[in-house]
Amino acid sequence: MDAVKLTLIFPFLGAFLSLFIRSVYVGFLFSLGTFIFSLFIRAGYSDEILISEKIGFSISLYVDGLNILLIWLTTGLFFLVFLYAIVEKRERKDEYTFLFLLLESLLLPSFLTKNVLVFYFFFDATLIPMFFIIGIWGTGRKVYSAYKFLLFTFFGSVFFLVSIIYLGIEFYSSGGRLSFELEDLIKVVGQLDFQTKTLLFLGFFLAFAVKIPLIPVHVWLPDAHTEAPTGGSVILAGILLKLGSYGFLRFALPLFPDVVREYWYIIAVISIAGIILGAILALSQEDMKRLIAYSSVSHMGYITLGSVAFSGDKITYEGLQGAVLQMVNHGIATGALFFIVGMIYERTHTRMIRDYSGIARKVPIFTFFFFIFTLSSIGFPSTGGFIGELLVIFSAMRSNIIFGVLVAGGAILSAGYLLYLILRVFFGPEKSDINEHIKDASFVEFLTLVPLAIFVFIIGIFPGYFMKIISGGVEFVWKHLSQ
Amino acid sequence: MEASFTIRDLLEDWGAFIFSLILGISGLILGRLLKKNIVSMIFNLFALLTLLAFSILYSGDGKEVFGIFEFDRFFFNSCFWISVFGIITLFVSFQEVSSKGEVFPENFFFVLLSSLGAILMTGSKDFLSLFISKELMSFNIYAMIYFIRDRYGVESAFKYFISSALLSLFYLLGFSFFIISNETIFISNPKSILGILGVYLVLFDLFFKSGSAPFHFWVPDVYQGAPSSTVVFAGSVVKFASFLAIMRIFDLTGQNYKHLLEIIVILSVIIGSLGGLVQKELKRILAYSSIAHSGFISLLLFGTGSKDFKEFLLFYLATYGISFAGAFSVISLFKNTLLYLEDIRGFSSAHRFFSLLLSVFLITFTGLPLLSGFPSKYFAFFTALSVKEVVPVIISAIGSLISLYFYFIPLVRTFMESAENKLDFNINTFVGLILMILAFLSFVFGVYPDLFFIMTQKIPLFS
Repeated sequence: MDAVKLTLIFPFLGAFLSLFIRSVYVGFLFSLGTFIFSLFIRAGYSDEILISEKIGFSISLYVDGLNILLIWLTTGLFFLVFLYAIVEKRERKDEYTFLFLLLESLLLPSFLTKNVLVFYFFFDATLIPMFFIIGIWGTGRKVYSAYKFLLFTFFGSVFFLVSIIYLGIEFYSSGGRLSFELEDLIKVVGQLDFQTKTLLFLGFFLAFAVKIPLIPVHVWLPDAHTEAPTGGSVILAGILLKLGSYGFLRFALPLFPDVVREYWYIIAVISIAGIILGAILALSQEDMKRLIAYSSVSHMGYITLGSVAFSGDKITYEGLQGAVLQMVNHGIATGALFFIVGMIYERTHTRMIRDYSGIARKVPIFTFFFFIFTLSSIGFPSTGGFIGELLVIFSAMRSNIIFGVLVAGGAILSAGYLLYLILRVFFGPEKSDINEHIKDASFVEFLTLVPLAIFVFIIGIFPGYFMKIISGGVEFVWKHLSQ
Repeated sequence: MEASFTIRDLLEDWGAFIFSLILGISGLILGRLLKKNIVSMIFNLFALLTLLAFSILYSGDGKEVFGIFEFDRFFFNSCFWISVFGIITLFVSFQEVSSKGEVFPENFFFVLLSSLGAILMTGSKDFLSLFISKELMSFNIYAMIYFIRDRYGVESAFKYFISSALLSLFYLLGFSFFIISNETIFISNPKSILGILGVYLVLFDLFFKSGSAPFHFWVPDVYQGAPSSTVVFAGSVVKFASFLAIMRIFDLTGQNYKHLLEIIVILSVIIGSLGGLVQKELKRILAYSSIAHSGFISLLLFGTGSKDFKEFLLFYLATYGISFAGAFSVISLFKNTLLYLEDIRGFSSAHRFFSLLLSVFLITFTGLPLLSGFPSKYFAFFTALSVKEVVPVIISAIGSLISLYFYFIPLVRTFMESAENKLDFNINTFVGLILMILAFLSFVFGVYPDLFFIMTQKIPLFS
């Protein structure tokens, strides 16, 4: 038993226990344990656990710079969700604990594996707990949103499965052995003709595009993020979306380098459209959570743009670095913003921006934190977001000057809608009816937000350490795309 | 072929069957005399356990019996699973008959007889014994459907009887065509076009029994009107036996049935998944899902002749049977005859355990990972894609996307809405226990499908 396996097993054990011990503290303890174990994971780990020969199902665990930060982010955010769940006012907390621990135990293997089928398995399995989380504890049109989330994601992933099986059969007929390992499949893809490759890539791309989400399949996201309970929104924005961009980097790019080289500009244009359209839509929102949800659409665009930015026929190295770093930054900042909005919502039961005004005087701690995470979101220097966005803008500039200009413009827009949100909600004249109910952060809530804020600055001030970790993983993708 | 046998052979090969029949008949007579369901139920339980033991312990893999039955590994595996489903049906129908306050010991004997028919069906090597065992299976089901004598019961028994009889005529016609063409009753490669037509007519009847489109029209009405315990049996065992019989015919005739299968897959998936969308009653939803699953199972038949497809077929049929039996067992515990979706509102807050089990079975049908639906779907896609049948696979993929919607509606009603009026629900410990085992199996086969294949290799134990 090493740290990786303990990290994988522990939340599952907790989920099982929480069926019998109905307390949110089970979730707290087990997510804390998982977090501690995950800190001992180091890049360069690789191991194989054969589950089923018959279906080519072996959980080949693999840790490198691409996923190690995401694993820490996952275990960390789940721990914070449970920390907050202790004080959160919520019905059926025992089922809440079970579903979140189950979700964690499904997310970790999907980040850790290098087997495409296993990735799909856990990628799709996360739909079940998330459907229930949105549907049971959501607000407003919760069932509608849960369905939208479920059907859209499954729509993408069902063709993903067909593509995977097709590749597996190709390998089987050439090698006589069933395998879905990335290395094995890469060999097979090289022998296919370009048209087949393009179709297979479409299967992969559709699944990831829905998950990331890219325009025009982003429509599930605002509803799901808005109606989900606080913890659900945090995990959705913080981690589940990263499953799409991570899968794209880890699987789609190394498997189909020449398809991406041929069509990268289409993906880039879609991403830039997402950045700008997401920002414009965010500007016009009246619901705080919806606004942040659209900001997610916009910010995830940077990640896909960074992943596919080619300069000449070589992919840009700094684009990949920026994409990976931006995944982490977005996970921290947007997750934290959803935390704060959820905490405020629990006090006032409204998310409408017009109901708030000048609450900064009553809730200085929330205001302080909200401001920090906003700065990271808009890419202010000395925060993590600055480094990530800068790298992506660099790569966009290098590949095409028009792209660069448009992306930089999108960055300005994002500053616009988020700062405008702060201005309307936290500052301005005080409204008596809201200000009467609202109280500042309690100690546990404060504890939930502090670690996230610290990491925003650590990444922003010492990016070198994180870049070093990341570059190990980026090499992996870069190697396959620059041959 | 000359059939010479001694009493010793007879007892060796058929001892288990004869013994179980004796047990069943004595249970029936005693149960009728004493007017007690439990007596008949226990005797028939032991009869089915005898068959279960036979499937595991019999030594003689690959043996031909009388020249008309082949006792191979798939026969024993089917025998095993059919007995298991029969035992589940016994418990569920005992609960159902008792809760209605009726004395109906015959029902349990029908389960035994029908299981025997289904078991023999999977071993038949000629069209005649296949026909007889198929009718043995069906006749008992007509009676089992009719034990609740209300409007829906009558309707569904009548519908099933009439359409079964009609399709049996197809079978006989095809059978006679085949005899004219090949001058034998043994399933073999048809020698003339008339023989091919004959095989097709026989297949129509078997596809009808399995509930595949375009022979699906009886499925929703029968599943809705029949007693739930009977549906547990009809949905799991009948489907199991007819698909294995189809598999054997495909294997022995060596014809290419690609176009027939394409039509059946595409129609079944489309009708099943679109039909389920508009239903308001849980049993009907599951009936349409059963049609769609027939389409998925037919995908596996594309692989006729390939190495693993028989095991994949067994896997699909067994795991589908498990979740189907599970779902209908939960439904059988409700007192309502018709279970509208509104009726199960707030089911989870009243009966947390059973609602959790229901959700496991329903999610298994969707084919989402973690439960045995995923490997099943994977095998189906894999087998069909191996022979480059891309279009049926794409349509099945879209069908599984559409059907995802209606599988989750009952879960929404169960978990996300609160009850308006009290649920009429019988809690039964035995059924609860069985359901727990079934749900556990769904999970285990979902994450570790190799276990099933190890089991398949181990049955029969001494070979």
